[in-house]
Amino acid sequence: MNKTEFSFTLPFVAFALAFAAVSFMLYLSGGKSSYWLKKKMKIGAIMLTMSAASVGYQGCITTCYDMPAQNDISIDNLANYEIRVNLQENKYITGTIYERISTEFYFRITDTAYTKTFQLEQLKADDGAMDESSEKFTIMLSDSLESGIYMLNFYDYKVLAEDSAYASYPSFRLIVENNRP
Amino acid sequence: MKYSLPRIAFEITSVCNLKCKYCYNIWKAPEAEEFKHFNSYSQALKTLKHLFKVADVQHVTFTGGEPFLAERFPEIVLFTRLKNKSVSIISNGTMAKPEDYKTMSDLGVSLIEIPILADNATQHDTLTGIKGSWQKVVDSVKSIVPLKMQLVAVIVITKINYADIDKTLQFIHNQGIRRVMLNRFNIGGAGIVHQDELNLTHRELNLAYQKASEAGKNLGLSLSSNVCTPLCVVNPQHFPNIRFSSCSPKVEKRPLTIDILGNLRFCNHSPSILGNIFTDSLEKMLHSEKAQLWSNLVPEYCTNCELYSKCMAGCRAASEQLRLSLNHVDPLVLYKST
Repeated sequence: MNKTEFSFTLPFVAFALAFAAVSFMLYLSGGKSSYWLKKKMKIGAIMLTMSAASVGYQGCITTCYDMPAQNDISIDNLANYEIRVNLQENKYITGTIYERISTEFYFRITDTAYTKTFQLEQLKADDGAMDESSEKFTIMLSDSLESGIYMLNFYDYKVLAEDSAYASYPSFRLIVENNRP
Repeated sequence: MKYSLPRIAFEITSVCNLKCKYCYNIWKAPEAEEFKHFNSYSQALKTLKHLFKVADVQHVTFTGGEPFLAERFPEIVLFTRLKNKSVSIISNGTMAKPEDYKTMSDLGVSLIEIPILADNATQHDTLTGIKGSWQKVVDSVKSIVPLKMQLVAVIVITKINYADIDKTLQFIHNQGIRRVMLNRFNIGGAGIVHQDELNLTHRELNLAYQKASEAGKNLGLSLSSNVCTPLCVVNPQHFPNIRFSSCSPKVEKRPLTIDILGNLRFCNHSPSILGNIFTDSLEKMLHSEKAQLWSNLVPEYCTNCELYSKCMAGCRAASEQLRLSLNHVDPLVLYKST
């Protein structure tokens, strides 16, 4: 386990334990204690933020009474909502923005604590223009990324390295293998 | 290997506080008097756990009934999110408190749909059957707009509110909402009883879309018409500012619906149960003769129609709700044209 991974895991385990304890207290109340319910929701929300569970919907289906979210960013070939890349074999991540409404997108690769930025670039549409409802995109990962776990974050505005890394769009766990000599 | 079901509508409770005249819920149909209502946290949890075990689900839409009346609803949403599923909610906008919406937003619920049927309480409350519901919806909107969660307003277009649809859109815009779903009244459930009050002639429906399209353009609203509407009744090309959609012929891409008992249906409008996820395999249910019939059977009315591949005969779940066969075109087609 590298340092980045460890710094992510330790607080997560602490929250998971707190979550289990609070859930147990709520269970003892028969699910009726508003105090323990609030605690459970709060800790659950923090755990979701830390685990970067996907917010967006991965793919577009038309339904009668139900709408997909806008600027819905989907990554191709996700395995359990994780992106695994071996830079010696492939340094590209591809995906699609469904129900696009924004005209400008940025992506940023950070550590799992969202404190350090490793790559920050504008997201370009494959056809050169962000002007269609669905836009395919390709991200070329930097060769300088070391092996480890990162977060891939998306924004629909120009983001600077010093800005907060938290975004209202889904973040993805990015697992990089880089065994360059 | 898990069966891939990208998107599921989950009927978490049949209980609702409103009496909407247009409600399509199958348990509101006139012949459903014996229906036993469902609202159980443990049953909902059990069914979701089983569903996620047998199917690769990416998105869950909680619907009802009114989801915020479901027993321990926030915990069900949290469970679903912790399973890494994205979540949206179809609500009537009258039951949740501001802190409930905040919790949903904090849990990463991506989208919530709420009906705004008119720019005034009289029309809205006439349609929902409960006085005061319009004001509660307006209050809910104020709580949701500042949150990260996307808000979509839904207008069910009926004879009661179609003439003022432009005013309704202006009102929605004034509330800070930019996305609107225009659902034409689609017969079913309680709507069967109230059909004479609600049904639009073809001319009236086209007039409503015309007004909406123009208002949407002027206001910069994103409009969509999601209830599949027969193309021989409404030509989407006449309304460039509205995005029309139709049912997918592919069974996996249909808005498949599961209730908390595990019963699987083609969509939340269809009363036909394909099977139960606890006793039947998804493969078997979705490739059953019944399921294939939906894709393969072209209603007699549509034979030789060149629009059929795009239109798929409109909403045949509405035909099913009227106890007609799948060989029957959407009932709207045969309703009065003028």
